[in-house]
Amino acid sequence: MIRTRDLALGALWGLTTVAMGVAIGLVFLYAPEERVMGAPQRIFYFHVPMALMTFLSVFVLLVGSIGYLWTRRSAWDDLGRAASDTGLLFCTLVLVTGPIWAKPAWGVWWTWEARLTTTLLLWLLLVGIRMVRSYAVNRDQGARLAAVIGIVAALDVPIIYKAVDWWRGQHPVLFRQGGGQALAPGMSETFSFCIVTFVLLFALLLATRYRLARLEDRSLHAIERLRAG
Amino acid sequence: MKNYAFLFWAYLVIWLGLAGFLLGTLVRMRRVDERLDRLEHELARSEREG
Amino acid sequence: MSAPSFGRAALEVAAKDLRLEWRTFESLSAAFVFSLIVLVLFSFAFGFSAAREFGVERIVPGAVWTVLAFATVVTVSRSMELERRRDTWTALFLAPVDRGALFTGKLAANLIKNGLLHVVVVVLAALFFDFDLLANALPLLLVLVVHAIGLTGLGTLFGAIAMRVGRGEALLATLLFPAAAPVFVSAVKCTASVLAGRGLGGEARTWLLATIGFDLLYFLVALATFEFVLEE
Repeated sequence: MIRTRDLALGALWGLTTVAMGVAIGLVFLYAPEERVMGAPQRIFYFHVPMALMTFLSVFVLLVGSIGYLWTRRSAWDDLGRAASDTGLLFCTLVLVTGPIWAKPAWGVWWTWEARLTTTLLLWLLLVGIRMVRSYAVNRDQGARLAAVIGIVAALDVPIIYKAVDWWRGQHPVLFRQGGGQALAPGMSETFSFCIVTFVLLFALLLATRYRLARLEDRSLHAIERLRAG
Repeated sequence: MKNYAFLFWAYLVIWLGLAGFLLGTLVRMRRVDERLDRLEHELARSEREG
Repeated sequence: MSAPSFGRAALEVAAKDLRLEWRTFESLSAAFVFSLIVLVLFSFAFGFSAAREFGVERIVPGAVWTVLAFATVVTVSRSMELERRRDTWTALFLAPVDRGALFTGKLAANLIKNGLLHVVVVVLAALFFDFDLLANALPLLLVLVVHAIGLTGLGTLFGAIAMRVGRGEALLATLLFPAAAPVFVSAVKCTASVLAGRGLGGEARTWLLATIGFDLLYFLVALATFEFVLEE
């Protein structure tokens, strides 16, 4: 029996795969070569959308956290958990690929400039949420405490972003809007498409992770009923 | 060229990371699915008996 | 029996904490010794006369606020540990008072304890690193107060969370430092500005106002969410 849920998920799979294929083609074949940096600049068609998806994950985490504290329905906590996981994934990928690009480009693996520092702080916050969940005595406490930290962290993200920005600021401005470098037409289309692709990918990862969390919930319930019965 | 070597590793990390995440999720889902089936069988059985 | 008002309840919680501290001086003495040790460590790390060579405002603010950040973790986790050891959390939770009042009371007590500690640390730093305290006393005091509220506020909320899962200072530090990073940055910036003779004008003023906003925001968030932390 195929449910609409499965159909929707399957469609999302298909759409994401196609979009990713097109995106890769665009990035490597269509987008013009950047004047200053050359071929290595192409990584940013992936790197920047992944960073954006981290922020999107945090937003969904905020929604899930508030939803859980408001309604106490485990579905909201499952959403929060899924968002935490995807957030941590994208954040880790950004943190790993950044230095890999930076070493040949800037000569150092790491600098304490605004964007890298902010991403590291965000990564630490997400790990902290995970830690609290795992240390919690029971499922409900884990969900509650993680939700509280989730709200604090999500509200903090823009603040950390601004604060560290004021304090530092030397991130490569490859896609500056308005003045300065105008974005070459080939680049901006590719970039926009990549963002859309990664939003689809984010939705896919979130949905599958959410499914997993719901299933784990059901099995926990079943275990409890068995023990009680 | 040195740059390209690093690029290769960066892309590799991205794909491996994404694939690993998806695969991991799917594997865990399979396991939980099986566990759920077992549990629901046992539940049905104990309800029939009880 | 009518439930005590918000202010009354907060006052009682704060008074209880402070009375306990007055009797034993437990957490303040631990935090003080810790701070002293770390200050000494810093002087070894950078070399005693280095502060004056590099310019007092370049090393001292960072060193001082690092000490204060860790000291905050120590005092707050001790304060939470108190409740856990004597198992008064349940009693607090069952009391028919606004959870926000409980938080405010705890926060007030922690602020007073931390405030004292902060002042002592700054005086010590003035002695160790040789900067002019008297000339800058008022602006420094303002910087201390505003940023201590930020650190202690988030610290109290996270401290309660860390205590609920049975962990102590390590988890608290892991949660607090990333979240309070903006406050820390602002604190160092403002302190540097004062010590460099630029007072609290221009840039420092922006940071100060931003931090006041931060303090307010998270105070409200904590008021709203503390009940969920206290739940059994």
